[in-house]
Amino acid sequence: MTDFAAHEELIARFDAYYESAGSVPLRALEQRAFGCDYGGNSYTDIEGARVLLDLLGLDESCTLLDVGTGAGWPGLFLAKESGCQAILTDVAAAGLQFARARAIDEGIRAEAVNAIGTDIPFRVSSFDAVTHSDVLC
Amino acid sequence: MVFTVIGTVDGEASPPIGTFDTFMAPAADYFAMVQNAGFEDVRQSDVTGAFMATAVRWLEAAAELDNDLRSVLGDAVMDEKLASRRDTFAALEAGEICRLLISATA
Repeated sequence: MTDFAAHEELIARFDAYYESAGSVPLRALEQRAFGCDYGGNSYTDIEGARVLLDLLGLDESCTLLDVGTGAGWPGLFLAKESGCQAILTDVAAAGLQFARARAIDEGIRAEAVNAIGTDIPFRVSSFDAVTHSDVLC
Repeated sequence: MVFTVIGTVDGEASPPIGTFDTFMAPAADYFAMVQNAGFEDVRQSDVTGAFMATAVRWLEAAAELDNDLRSVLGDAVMDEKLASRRDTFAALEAGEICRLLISATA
């Protein structure tokens, strides 16, 4: 399989999962596994996200980039808790749609950008803080 | 910048494990990578314990909610998700992988 085909297959697999991101069963699973239901698909739980919040030193004047956010975790939580502006990026559009809808519903300052982590479409020094959970391998 | 990463323990890259479809790099590589990229005040802590706890909770919850999850995800997606999470847990239990929390300033 070519690299492009493999990449497209990976995106399709993520989309298939994230299309159900807001469903009752998935939110129940996340609550039990992570202690919250922001569409988490990594291994960061709520306590881990609080550690990120402390280390990143965010406040309402900051702009945060969350790479590989999936359906908005932990970027939505970090934005909600700190008041910062979050830019949520991922290769899978389905999760981003959920994240953006939730941000609007809850008044969270977050925008979603469909992008791969190796080619983020922003100028250098656009962000005060960057985070990613279990994206590199 | 603050991020978590899962990598191999033994200093060697591994074939794909669980959720990860590419070769998994040694966890020890990331600290140097961040330093070499020009970041300062690079710090690292091992969060494998929390990783294990989360992995266990996820598998237990997935088992309890299996029917409901399959009703929304379908069997194919659910089977793949379970297989990847179980593979990751097995590698974790075997001490083959760990999870690190790395922070740095630009």
